[in-house]
Formats: sequence, C-alpha cells, structure tokens
Amino acid sequence: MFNYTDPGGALKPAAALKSYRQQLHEQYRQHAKRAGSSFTLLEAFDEIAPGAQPVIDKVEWSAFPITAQANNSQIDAGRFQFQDEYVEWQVTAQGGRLRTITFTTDFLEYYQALAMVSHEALVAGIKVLYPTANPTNAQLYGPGFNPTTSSPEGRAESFARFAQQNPWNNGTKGILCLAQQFNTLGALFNLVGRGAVENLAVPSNAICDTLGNFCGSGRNSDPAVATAVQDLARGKRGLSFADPAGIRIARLAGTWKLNGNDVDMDNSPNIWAITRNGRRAVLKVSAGLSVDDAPITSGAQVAALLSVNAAVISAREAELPRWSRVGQETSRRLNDVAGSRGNP
Amino acid sequence: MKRLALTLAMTLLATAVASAQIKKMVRDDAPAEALSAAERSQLGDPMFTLALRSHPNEGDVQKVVDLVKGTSAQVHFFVVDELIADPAPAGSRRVVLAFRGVNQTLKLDPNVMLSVILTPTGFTPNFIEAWGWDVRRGRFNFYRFEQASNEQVPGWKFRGSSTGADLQTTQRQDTCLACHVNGEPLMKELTLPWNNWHSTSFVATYLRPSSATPWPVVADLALLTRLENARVLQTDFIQLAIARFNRSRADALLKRNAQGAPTVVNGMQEVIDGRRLLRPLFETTQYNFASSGTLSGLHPFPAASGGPVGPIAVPAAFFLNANLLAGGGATQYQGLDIAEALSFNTLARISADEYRTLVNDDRTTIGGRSGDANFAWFVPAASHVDNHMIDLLVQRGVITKEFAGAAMAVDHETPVFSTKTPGLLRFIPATFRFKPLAVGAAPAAHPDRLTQAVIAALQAASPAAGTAEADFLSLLQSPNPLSTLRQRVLSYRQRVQTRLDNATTRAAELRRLFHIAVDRRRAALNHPVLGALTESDALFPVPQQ
Repeated sequence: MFNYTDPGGALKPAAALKSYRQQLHEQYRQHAKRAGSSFTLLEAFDEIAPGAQPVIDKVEWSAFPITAQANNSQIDAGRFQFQDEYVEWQVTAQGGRLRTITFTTDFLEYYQALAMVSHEALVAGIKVLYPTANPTNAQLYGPGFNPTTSSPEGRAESFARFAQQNPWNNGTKGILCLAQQFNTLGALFNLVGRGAVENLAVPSNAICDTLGNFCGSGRNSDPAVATAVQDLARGKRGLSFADPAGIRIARLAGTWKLNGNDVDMDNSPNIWAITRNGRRAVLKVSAGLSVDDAPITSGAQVAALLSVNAAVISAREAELPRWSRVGQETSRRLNDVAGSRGNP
Repeated sequence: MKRLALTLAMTLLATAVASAQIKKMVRDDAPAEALSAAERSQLGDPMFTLALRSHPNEGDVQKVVDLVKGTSAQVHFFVVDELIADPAPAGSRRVVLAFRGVNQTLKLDPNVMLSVILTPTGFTPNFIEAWGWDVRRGRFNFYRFEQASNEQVPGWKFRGSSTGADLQTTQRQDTCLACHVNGEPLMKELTLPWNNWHSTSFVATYLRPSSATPWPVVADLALLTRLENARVLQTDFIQLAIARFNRSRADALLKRNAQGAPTVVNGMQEVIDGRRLLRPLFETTQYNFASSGTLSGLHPFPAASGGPVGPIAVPAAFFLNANLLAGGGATQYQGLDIAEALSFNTLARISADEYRTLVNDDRTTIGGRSGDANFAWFVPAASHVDNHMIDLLVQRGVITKEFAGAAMAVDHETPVFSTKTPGLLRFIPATFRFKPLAVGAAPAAHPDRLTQAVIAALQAASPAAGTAEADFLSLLQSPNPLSTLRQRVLSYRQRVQTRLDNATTRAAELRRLFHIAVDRRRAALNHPVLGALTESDALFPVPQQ
C-alpha cells in the first residue's frame, strides 16, 4: 500500500494514520479497478519508465457555491444546504460584527480514522484545532452513544452520521471537516474514477452530463474535475490523485486592505492563515479589514474570492507499468489490498 | 581624461535614449506622431514605467513580459477565440497576459495586461496591445506595438486613455475606445461558463502538453506553461480592475475643493454631472454574455455533435438583471435584496430535443455555418461595469436602493438594450447633492433629495399614462418601490412558468423566449457603438437574413 501522507499532520497515534491510509487506499483501489478507467494507483507512478516524468495538474475552482439560489447570509447559515463545492465554512461574530471565517476542505474520513482508534484519539484530534475543547460523547456521536463499549467501526459511523449535529463541527462551537451531503471523499473519487473512463460519444467538456448523479453539472467543481480527467484519459494518460489526495485551499483574490493599507494576503498569517497542508484557512476579520473597498460581511463574500484545487498526477500510459493500464483492471496487483509491489 | 570620456559616453547614451521614445497614433492607419514631453509626463502606469519608457521598440513578447514582471512577479496566460472549440492547428487565438506581484515597488495585479495573437506555431509578430492603470491619474492608458505607415520599423504607440471615454460619440472608430467603450478592460464572456475562453468549463486541450495532439507551439513556447483558466482572469484581474475604475470614475464626478478633496456642505456631497454618473442605471453602456452552463452540441466548430447531452437551463440573466436584483453570487453585488430573481435560473429547463428544435427551426448560423454557440442560450446580458457602478452608487449613498429599484422596475424584463429607460435619463438633474453613506450606516430614507427632484421633473413633464415616464413617476412616488419591483418580478416569473408548465403553450413560449434571445444578439450586432465588439461572425448565432 502506498504511504499516503497525513494531510493534516494530526493522525496520532500511528494506528490512526494506518486506518486513514486503509480508507484512502480502498478508494484508490476501487476506482483503479473500474473498467476502462485511466485512474490507477499511486504506486504506478513509482514504477514509471526510466527517464519519464509524471505531470501534476491542479484543477482549480471557486469555493463559492454557484448553484445556490440564496444570498450571502443564507449561504452562510445554510452550510449543509448550499456549501457544495468541497469547501465549507464557519462564521463567528461578536457584538454584531464578524470576527472569523474558518474554511475547511478536510474530509470526514480524516476524523473517522481517529474515531476508529479510540474516543480519546478523536478528542485529541479535535483539540489540535480547539485546545480547550472538551466535547461530550453526545456531542460527537449523538445521544445515548457509548464510545468506550462501541466497536471502532461503530464510533466512526456514529461520528459521521452525527457530523451535521455535532456542535464542534456544525459551527456552533467549531468546524472540523466537510459534512455537506455531496462533499465526501467517495464523491470526489467517484468523480475522478468515472470521469476518467474515455467516452468519445460526447465532447470531453460535456462528460459531466454523462455521469448522472456522480457529477453536478451546475457546480464549479464537478465539471472542472471531470473534464480535466477525461481529457487526460483521451490523451492516453494514466492518472491518479496526487498525494496527499484531497482539496487544497489555493488562493484568495481581491485587493485587501487593513485600515486603508494594502495587505499581501499570501504573507499575512495573522490575518489569513492557511494550515493543515491547505485543508484549513482562517480569516481574522478586524474592524479595519476590507476587500475591494467593501467591509467583510459574510463568509460567502470571501468564498467568492477563494480558489481551491485538486492535484491530479498523470503520465503516458505507455510509460506506466502494465498492471496499471486501461484493460488491466483485473490484475492481481489491483485486487491485492496490500498491493505488494512488483506483482504484475 | 577618464571623467571626460565617461561624460561623453553618458551624453551619447542619453541622446540615444531620448531619440528612441514611444510615439502616439490617434487611430488605426494614422501616421505615428511624436509625443510631446508634456504628454509623456502624463504616462504613469506600470506598462509605460517598467517597459515602454526604456524600451519603446521592444516587440518581442517574452522580453516585454520580462520587463513588466521583473524577477519576482508572475505572468498568467489566458486564451479566447470564437473558434476556441476547434482543435485544428489553424487560424489564431487571442492571448491575454496578466501579471501578479510587484516589480520595482509597482503592484502589477490588476494594473497591466498585454494582448497578443497566438498561431499554431507562435505569436504573430509585430502586434502587441497593452493597457496600464495609472493609479495617480485614475485612468487606463492604451498602447499598441505596430508599424505606422510613416515608419520604417514598428514600435510602441500610445493609443489613448480612458479619460472621457464614456463621452465619446462618433470618434471611436479605429481607436481602442471602439471596444473599451467606457475605457474599461474588456472581457465580454466574463462569467461562467466563459463561452469562447479556455476555462474550467471548456478546456482547449490542444494548448496543453498532455494533449494527444497539441498545437506545435505548445512544445516551443515557454509562456504557455502559464496557461490559466478564464475564471482566474475574471475574479483576480478583470473584476478588480473594473471595480477600481468605477470608483475612480465616481470620485471624479464629485465637486471638489481647491485641495482636491470632495466638498462637503452640511454633511452633503455634490455630484457635478448627474446624468453621466447615473447613465448605467438607464442605458446599456456595455454588455457581457450569459449562457447556459451546458454545451449546445450544435456548435459547428469543429463539428456539431447533434445537440446538448442533457437538458439546458436558461440563465436568469437572460430574463432579468438577476445578479444586481438579488446581490451576492459570483460578482458579489450588494444588490437590491430581490432574492427571487435568482429563481429564474431554474425557471426554464429545456430538453435537448426542444433546444435542438428551437435552433434548427430558426436556422441560426455562426461563422458561416449552421449551428449555435458553444454553450447553449448564448445572449448579451447586463454588464458588470454597469451593474457594479449602480451597486457602488447605492453603497455610497449617491442613490437609494428604492431609486435604483424604481428605475429597474420600469423595464425589468429587458435587462439589456432597453428602449424604455434611456429616455428617463433626461429627468436626472445635472447636479445634485447626497449624504455619503458610511459603512454600516442607515441609508437615506425614501424619497431622498434626488428622488424628490426627479419626481418634480417628471411631474413638470406631465407624462401620458402608460408611458415609461409615467411608470417611473408612479414607482418613485410609491412608498416602497422595492416591494413593487419584487411583485413585478414574481408576476413575471409566474407568467412564464404558467406558459411553460402548460403542454399546449410550452412550445410557443419557448419559441417566444428564443426569439427574444436572437433579437438581443441582433441588437448587439447592430448597436451603433457596441456593434464594434463583434469582431467575428463566429460570435453570435443568428438566422441568416
């Protein structure tokens, strides 16, 4: 199995990282086995032909939920209804004034991996973000749930099922990870795994429309990702999510000022801090902060200026090992969860 | 002796530099003329400061890029063309180069852009267009690298500035202002799906090295590694440039004291040219495009594929000025809080068969071939430069939301090229005073001073019942024009919805709507000023005459 990177650096103890890697590997493996898909395991790129170089394309999109028929405050308040671009955010206010906007692209599976290890590991993971947090069992898993007597899978499932009610995630006390129904790791892998099946019946830019519920054609993200991988597939390139897989917060546009003075947001971590390998960003909204001469009044306003991306690694199929190519989806290598190297 | 030689060398160098200076051309095909020292002293944008002042004859695109960006800034490469969908290595594509970062203390984003022509094998020589924003003078300067009829070699020419561009009438032809109508940067297909641009909605794969059949230029042109999608140009450059330009234009129309500060009397500021400032509320000064996010499948370049893959949604911006009415969205207007306007995005969902029938029945052609635009339901819509200005005026307290709403309610079903509202502009006073609106403060109560003045002017004209003037007067006199506007929007939606939901009227209603779209394309094509934006017959699908 590939040594997938811990994107947030908080998967402790080692068993949490192992659990996370297993979940992730299952996604990779499932779609590498998809018939006709150019998606393959990351291991294939370790075995690339001598002299060949893989290419990493960053597919970028706007964090603003373009399909939302709602104003900024409705989008802020309706996180689980509207925020469907693999980016969700929490807005905190004090004295009627906005104080922080916290964006996350961390997947639920990240915290499920901690929950698989133990309740304590999950709480420790939450404390990485909120050091004074003291979450109750009911807050994390729902009423009546006993994490001590539960199985690891039971804890992980309950945590996931209760993620929209969990005050440490739903914005009441904090935000941990994506919890909107479409913003799942599985959805992202499905999009790429299925989008990478070459389909010459339609233009590559229309591939999203052929993927049914696996691609939301009105969104910013899904068509961009699906088209990008379809184009790679048509170019006879094997592809995969670059490690670490997921969504990275890339860039904040706009002319930002603090008390009338220009602010370079790429170099002002006291105002705009991107952490966890691009999976989390916090905007501290002080009274004098403005963008394009407008005060900061909502998270949606900032989301409209925020770009995120997913990194896709690719190489010419002919340069990748035979087991990873289209048509080899039943190879023993792909069927072996552990994926022992060199097994054709 | 050494000092004398050095002085002599410096004098010779200075003479050489002085003799090679940027010239000006007033229009295409005009002779190149020398810029006076006074004219040259007025050029304070980064394009001139970093590149053209010292290298007025530099026509190598990469070298010009290097001069502008210096060692630490970045260049971004954007591509647009009406034939962008055709991968054949033929013809050309327009390239826009934008810069991010700082060079010699000058901020480059979004203050300078270049435009060049890309062919399958490289850039077209001896042609570069550029603009730079002069922050001190609050204007865009336009430049072009070209060879005038009275020159032996090409060189850079100053081609005018944005100052007073909106006032130009007949003098635009063959100048930059023919297309930069208000003097603003131009990106007609500004928003999703950026029809005609390389974007996340339509990838020009042939410009990428991972393509199976890339254009030959991909292997040779280092700048192409900076290829970016059009959304970045929209959000990171064009919208910012337009916003700053509008703020500058609005500032310039305030009465000022001898020190240059806005005059404030009893807490009020004064607009010195009301009709000019409020023109975007009543007239289409520019347009952008709206379309469905779905490919039409009927675009004939390279070949139609038979129609859309799935149903298409007619964009709300076709029905009404939804973005400004609702606020928020990708353009982040404050808006008028008529959130119902966004529901038009889901009002007309047309099956692939229905859409194919509409296009085929009208026998539209594009670029000389039967078919449609790349993305379905491609129409001119209200422009960002106009909408942003209206929104800015509301935010600043120059006009109230109620005033803006009343003006928009007069012809809300015609978000672009209205023939009803331009006539209302004459009722705007030449000058008027307003209370500047501080951030977070309560706006002036309706009717404010301007509204009262316009009501008086309309009453004095005794408009006949049923006219736009009478309607505007009634709306302004209403205690809540925004409520009336909201009712009209809801009534409009209901009317269209009813016709579309009824199987016996649906086809006729779709035809009616489609013909409105075609008529708007024709209005753009035939517009006395904005017609110049149509640079190719491959822009608009219209029925053959």
